[in-house]
Amino acid sequence: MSEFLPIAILMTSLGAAPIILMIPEHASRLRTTINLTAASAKVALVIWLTVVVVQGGAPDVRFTVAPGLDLHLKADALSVLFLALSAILWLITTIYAIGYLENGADRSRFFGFFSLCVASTVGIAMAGNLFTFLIFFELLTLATYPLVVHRGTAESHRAGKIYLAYTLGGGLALTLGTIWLYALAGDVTFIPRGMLGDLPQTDSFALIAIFILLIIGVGVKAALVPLHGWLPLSMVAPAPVSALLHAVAVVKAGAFGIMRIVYDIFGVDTVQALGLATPLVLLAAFTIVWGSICALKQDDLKKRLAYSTISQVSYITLGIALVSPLAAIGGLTHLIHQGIMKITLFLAAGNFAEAHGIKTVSGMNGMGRLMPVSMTAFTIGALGMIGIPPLAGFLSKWYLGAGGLEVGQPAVIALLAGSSLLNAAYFLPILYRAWFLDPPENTPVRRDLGWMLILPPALTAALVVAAGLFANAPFSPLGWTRFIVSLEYL
Amino acid sequence: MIDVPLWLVPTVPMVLVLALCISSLRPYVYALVPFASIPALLVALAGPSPAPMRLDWLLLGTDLAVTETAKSFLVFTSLLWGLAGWQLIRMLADHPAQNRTTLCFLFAMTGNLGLLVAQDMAAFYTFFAMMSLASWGLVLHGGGVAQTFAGRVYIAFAVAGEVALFAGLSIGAFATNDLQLSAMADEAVPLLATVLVSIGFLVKLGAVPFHLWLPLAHAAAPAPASAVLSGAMLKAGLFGLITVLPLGQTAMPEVAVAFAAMALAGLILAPILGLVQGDPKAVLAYSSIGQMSLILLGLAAALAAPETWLLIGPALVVLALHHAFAKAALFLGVPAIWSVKPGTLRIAVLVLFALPALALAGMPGTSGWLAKDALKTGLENAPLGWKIWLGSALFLASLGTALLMLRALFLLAKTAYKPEISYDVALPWLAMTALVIVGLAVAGLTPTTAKVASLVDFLPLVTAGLLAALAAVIFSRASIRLEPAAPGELLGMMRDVPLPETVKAGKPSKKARALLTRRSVVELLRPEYGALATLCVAVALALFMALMPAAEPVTPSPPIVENAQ
Repeated sequence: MSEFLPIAILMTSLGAAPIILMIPEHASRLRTTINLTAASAKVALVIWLTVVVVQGGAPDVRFTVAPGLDLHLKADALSVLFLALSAILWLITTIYAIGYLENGADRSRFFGFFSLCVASTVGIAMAGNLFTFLIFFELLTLATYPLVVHRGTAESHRAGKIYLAYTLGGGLALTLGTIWLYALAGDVTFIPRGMLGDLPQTDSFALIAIFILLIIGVGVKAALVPLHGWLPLSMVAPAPVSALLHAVAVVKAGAFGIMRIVYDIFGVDTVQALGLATPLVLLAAFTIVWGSICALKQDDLKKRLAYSTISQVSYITLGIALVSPLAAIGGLTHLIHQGIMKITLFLAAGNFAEAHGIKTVSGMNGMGRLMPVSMTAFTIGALGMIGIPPLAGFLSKWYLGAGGLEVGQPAVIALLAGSSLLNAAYFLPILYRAWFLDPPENTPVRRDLGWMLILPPALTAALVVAAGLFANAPFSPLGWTRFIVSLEYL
Repeated sequence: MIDVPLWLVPTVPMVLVLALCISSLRPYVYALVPFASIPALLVALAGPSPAPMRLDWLLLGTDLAVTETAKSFLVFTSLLWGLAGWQLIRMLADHPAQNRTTLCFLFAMTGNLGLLVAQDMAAFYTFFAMMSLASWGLVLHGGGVAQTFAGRVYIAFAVAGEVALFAGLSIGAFATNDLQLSAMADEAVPLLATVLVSIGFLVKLGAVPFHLWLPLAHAAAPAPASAVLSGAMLKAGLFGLITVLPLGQTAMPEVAVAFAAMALAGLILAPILGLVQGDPKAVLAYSSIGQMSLILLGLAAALAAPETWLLIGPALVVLALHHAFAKAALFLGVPAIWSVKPGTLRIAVLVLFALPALALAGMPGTSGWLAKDALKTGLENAPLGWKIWLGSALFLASLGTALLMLRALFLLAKTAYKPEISYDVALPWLAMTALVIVGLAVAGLTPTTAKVASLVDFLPLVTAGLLAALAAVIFSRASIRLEPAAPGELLGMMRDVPLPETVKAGKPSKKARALLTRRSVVELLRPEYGALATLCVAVALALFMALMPAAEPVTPSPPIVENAQ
């Protein structure tokens, strides 16, 4: 009965994409209808799927492409986590993008690739084996490129080139790793606690090399230092794209890939046995600190947020690499928490730029008075990033810290404390300017924001509050990740 | 008595915060601000404590309950917030920052009241952070150079304190596998966790050397906000320390010595630095540092000898209660004095203002005297080495406070009349002063606390009076005019702290780049060097005194209950 669900969820965006691409530019009402219908349908289907998975179902679909090479879609608890995030945030971002691009150019192209981008994300979430994962991962690269260069300026073309160079390079590493692993192990299906653990003792050098290749492949998208160079540049993209890139699609696909590689291909025990966990922890720790320090120096608001993403996404990597159930809960919830916090920040930042042309931190004076709703949303997102309770970010930090202690690494606490201080150092001045300084006399007014631009950040900010405040309620992100982690570490 | 459910305590001010976001409701919210803390007061005064509550779905599982200690804290905290709120809405009527400051005030109130009833770490930390961050808005208030600078220093300390608290709590929770805040007092908690959590609370308490934010913030914030900062929020730090330290159970000699050193440094530093201040609110702030140091001294003694906690504990609560009311009355009195022209009426106001000041200085027969006497009795049981110098510390505290109070009165007597402040700001102050007087009367009539004052108890006050008179004579004869010190104090040491122009005013021009650069003698006389020197002397003295008893064998003296001389 529920076997069609993965296909249906994929098709809501994969099927919508070509239709939207073909819609004439002026038929905006039709385009909006299709966009919103598809996005709402996906949310409904994901809710259905969640119910199925909670009841113990695991919808599973396979198409054989070539002997030994299957396209495999399946929905497990981890998929549902990522699916729910992308479905909800896609709906919210679509509403925002419709308002944002009102009267803009090339909207059919934009929304077509926007749908394709989400289709790839959904595919990544439901990929049942490494081959399927690879296909959707590469599709994501291709689908996001037109979005990054959407504005068509020289700057955006330059950023697009660099983005392609990084991600295709990463894709190459991922492909090599995949081929090598298929040659060693046959079909690489994702199963909890890893499929390699069951293999007879294989050459550990080969396994280490494969692990490194795969991590480089997904690490580019997860913006692990030193593979992060593309992210701050791709800020030239329109606000909804940046929001989606940072919260759901690209960087999260990378982080999700790390989860699949560590949990469902190698398995935490094998990763630790190969001595790969500690280097990954160190890399994540370095990225957390480096990203924050870079963020401090940026005056461009979106660039500051971009470096902040580099830092915050590595919390997820840290949580995975620490090889502790508690840290895993922290890392996995941060997948959701970082998503809703960062999308709030980007959507609000987009509003400041749209309404008053304000793109720099130094120009933020008095924004609280000019745009109270957007600024309140931004404030909630920023305080959440710092880790102020009861907002979502606090819980991630709490569990990561406990996880660090669990594996006897109290230095993790120091790392989190330092990161909180750095986050405070680059977010609080923005809040100070916005709420406590007067706006300049002649702030330009570019346009009136409709509800389509104001409501989305308010909604996501409400999610940030709810995710933290009702953390112990059954279907909170935290509750769901506890469930996933209980499967991984029985 | 009405049965008030505990969740109402933080929820009522929180609802007002939300209502404040709707502009048509604002006038009603302003009118309701003074009443927002009433549920907390009812909980505190209810005969049997309200039933504990467990809210499983909230945060990481929230427990609300009210302990006996929390009840005492709730009494003064709720009254202070209510009366300060009353004055705040009177003072800020039609002020451009009225909405923002009221919002921060209500947020901070939610936090301060909530943390007193929260039992689990997540909820406590949430409320604590809410209070600390929202107070940033109270310090910044309407903006201005001094406010901006104070706000910057305040938020740096507050965030650092929060982070230390987070680190300490997570280490402690992991070690005990218990999310209850009281589990931090368990023996399984590593020393590092206790130290980190203590730092978080000591920042709030304003213990030296974490006090740097305190005089700046108190001077910058509007008077009613200073009243709650000093009267209620500093006590949140004390409440936290009482909850997380194993007082009365385990001796922690290292922590005790550190606390004693900090306390003594504060007792010496506060009057010296406070006396050279030019702003009466800064003087009052330094007196708060002195009083909190006294409280810290009590904690130190209890950590050194757990058996003394039985007597010291109640004494500290009394001291906190007394300081809260008296200090709040003083801060609320500042705008009342501003609102009257110099003349007979102002003298009358000053006389009334002097009453809580006398209580703070420990005038026999007042609450301050009772509190200090209770502390003294508690310290009778302290180890022998401690007793020797605890007495002098108490004397020092009284002398310092008395001098600071005289300085504040002197400054307020000649402060300028501010016609823009209406008379009615005096109403909350009168109410608070009335509470202080009622408190004195009740305390004086209670047979268990009634004691006969001896002449020795007047010694600090008389000494202070003589010193002040001497200073006045010297200053007028030699026609010396005191140039008020920069409020930045030790912060002037740090090159990267961008001191605003007004703070820098009166200082030698460019700072020397390197240590080797030649400096004139004037350069060496900068206030921050004075502060540093005082601090060094104080710390050295404190360490010397604190380490002395640790060296000799501690013989627990039998508990002798003595009458005061």
